[in-house]
Amino acid sequence: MKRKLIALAAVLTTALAALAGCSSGRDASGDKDQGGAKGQGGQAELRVALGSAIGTLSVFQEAGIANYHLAALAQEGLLALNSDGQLEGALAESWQTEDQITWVFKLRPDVKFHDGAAVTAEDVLFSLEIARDPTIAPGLSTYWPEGVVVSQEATAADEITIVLDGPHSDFAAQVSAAGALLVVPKAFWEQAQDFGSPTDLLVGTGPYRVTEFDPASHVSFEKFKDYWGPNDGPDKVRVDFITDDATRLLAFQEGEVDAALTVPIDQADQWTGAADATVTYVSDRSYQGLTFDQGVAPFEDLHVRRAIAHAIDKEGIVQGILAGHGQVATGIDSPVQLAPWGGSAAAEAAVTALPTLEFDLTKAGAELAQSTQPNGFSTTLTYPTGYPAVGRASLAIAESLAEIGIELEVKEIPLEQWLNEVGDGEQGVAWMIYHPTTPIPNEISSWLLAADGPGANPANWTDPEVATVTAGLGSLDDAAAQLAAVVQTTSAALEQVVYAPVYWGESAIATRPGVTAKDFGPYTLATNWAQAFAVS
Amino acid sequence: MSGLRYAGRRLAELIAVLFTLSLVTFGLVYLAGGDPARSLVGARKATPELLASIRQAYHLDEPIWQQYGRWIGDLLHGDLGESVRTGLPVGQMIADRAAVTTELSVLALAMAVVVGLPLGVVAAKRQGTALDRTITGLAVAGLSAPSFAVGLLALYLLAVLAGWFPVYGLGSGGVADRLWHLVLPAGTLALGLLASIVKVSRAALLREINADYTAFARARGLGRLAVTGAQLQNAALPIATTTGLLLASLVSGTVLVEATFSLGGVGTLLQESVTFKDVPVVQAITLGLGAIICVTSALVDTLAGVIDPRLRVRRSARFEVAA
Repeated sequence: MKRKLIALAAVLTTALAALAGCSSGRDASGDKDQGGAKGQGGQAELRVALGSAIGTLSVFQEAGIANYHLAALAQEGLLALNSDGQLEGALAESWQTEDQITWVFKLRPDVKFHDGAAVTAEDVLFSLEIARDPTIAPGLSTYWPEGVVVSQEATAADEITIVLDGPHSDFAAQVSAAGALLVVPKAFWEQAQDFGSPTDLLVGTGPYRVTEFDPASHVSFEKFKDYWGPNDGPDKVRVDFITDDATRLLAFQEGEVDAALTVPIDQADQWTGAADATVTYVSDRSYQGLTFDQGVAPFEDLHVRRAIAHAIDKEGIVQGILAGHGQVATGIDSPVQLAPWGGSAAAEAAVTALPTLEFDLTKAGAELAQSTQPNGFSTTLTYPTGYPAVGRASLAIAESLAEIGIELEVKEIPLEQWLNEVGDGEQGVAWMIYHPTTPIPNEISSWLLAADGPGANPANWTDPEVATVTAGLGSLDDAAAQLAAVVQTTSAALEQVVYAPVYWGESAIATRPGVTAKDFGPYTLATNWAQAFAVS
Repeated sequence: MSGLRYAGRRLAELIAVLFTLSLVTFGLVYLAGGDPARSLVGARKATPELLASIRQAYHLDEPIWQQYGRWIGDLLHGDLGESVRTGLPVGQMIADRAAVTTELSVLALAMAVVVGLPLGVVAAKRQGTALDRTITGLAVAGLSAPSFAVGLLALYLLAVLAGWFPVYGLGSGGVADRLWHLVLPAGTLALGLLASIVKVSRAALLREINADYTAFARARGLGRLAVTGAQLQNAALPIATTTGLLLASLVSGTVLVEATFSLGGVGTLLQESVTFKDVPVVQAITLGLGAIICVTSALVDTLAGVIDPRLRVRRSARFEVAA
């Protein structure tokens, strides 16, 4: 027995010593050293930390914002966005429409998929088909409501013609990879068991090819040598999923990653301070605001809704919680998002003129006194995990409401549970957090202001006039008219206090010393963002 | 013959436990509310018709008994089903993640035994001394400390300040690099197990130290090592049993440690799948874990017979009577 024990101890000691021995070998050429080298024009590897993990690379199956960011490197649609949000040709080198009903796209010649196959019109038509199928692409199919596409066909070997049920001025944005069309090789899709999984890696036409995907840790890309366009990015890109905020900061501090996307905005100071990093802020075009369901008591009472809206210190939230890295929301679609309709100045002017209620607790108290609940009431406000700034904003709102007699219980819930609660007809007051992916100016309000009644919008709001204007907005050709229509419908929603906008968000990108995020704009993450990182 | 019967009985028990577990898990996830179709669509405008067609595609619109029947029917054909969230086969998803969790758990258990057992022995041998109290105290402190806090502290001290270990992930090198990345998370996990092993081994050994045969062996002038060897052999049963059962607590422990160290293992997958209501994945993981725990306890029981001849005799005697 004694001998056995000694032998066991010896084996274990040897194993641990071997492990330690291997480790010192690793240190010499270890991760830290490998991770650092990178940059523009043929330099080795860019290592990026992402704050969320994904289950599959296929946006068809999982259309979260992180999936879109990763797909932006590897997949393309007929059109693409540039970093200013303007549409350019991608797989289509040109496109035209006379009436915004019939859209003709001329395919770029000699484009190849990552597996070497040439892109054909058939691939594009197939990709359109699966994007429209809710059972294959639950998220993408929401952009393709039933009946909108009347026909889609190859009118020549290099030409696709899509006929819609009526004029849709924003259709061009929809056929981009930032919207709802990511072109896949039909043959590969049909032969692959699980497109976008670790075994059947994603195949697209984008500037980077996926070389490895491990949902447990990372996805690796390398430059696609047959890419049809220019690509000034690093040779390799590795995106690590580090979901714990503290760990991500430590990894960054240690130089194990070069950059971090989506740094929590309320923690950006820690990043700058602790790691000597540069944090770049850009508008992410997101909307954060409260939604009131008039079908839930006591929110059917306009005075109750006005009381709450008056108790939101938006400026305080933007300055105090977001450290100024956000914009007080006076409407639904952000001015950055609305800018394509007549420019930034027109968009700013339009949202500034919207009828929002100012922060004023006296007025809030007065509104409550006139309501059906003059002595106050209690209710719950939930916010999803992963949105700490929204959580802190909720607490700030709860504090103000407590002063006028409304007890607001703030609860953090899993993201999926929150998604399920959106518009479920049971939440009197709820957060709406919306990150638009497309450059369609009214992407957010096309949903929030679809006032067709229960189920059509998250507030279950009914207003036939607003519903008609919202539905007809896509058929307007003139940018000024489109902007005016959004102002009209948003004003109606704000006057009735169906929504109480709080802030338009910004996204923070951290880079370690020696690395810069150059010309990062609101649309950069929808483009080949790897080439926006460079060694200064 | 009795051995076969014993194995058969354990197998029947295993199937009964797993069946009950599958019913309870299925029911609980179903009762938890929420609509995976809505989660798939995300915060986007979706018509009721669109949501209905997604529910239909995943059979989410069927009554619970029908969904369960479909699931168990597939299972009996060896098909674990498809994940609602990723659309991938459940077996493949678990296989992709299982390696990390298995390595993490085995390494943690090994660390806890390698460190905990000698500490327990020393504490028992030095019973009542300051050393004993220090060891026991430290072990309890390790058990009480939440693993995410220990993990972060370890990361800061050992990875950032000392620079001895990598901060996160599994590295991109070979097996050794991967193991090196696992040392810190496994150590964090081991800390929670350590206390149980120290306490059990100390208590078990104390009983042997105070036993008559110890006094007799000493009186006969047997060497210190020989006496300790005999004591350890006799104390091995509770230690082995506890170590086996610790596997169960490892499973829940991995969720937090995996999150802290960005190791997307089975724990993380389970947590993601529960919040998404991804029933096929939740079912497969809980059943897998249930099976591991059942098999481990069966192995521990069998091992008990090997370690302690008295149990062996008793068991075979009982079987003979039954036969």
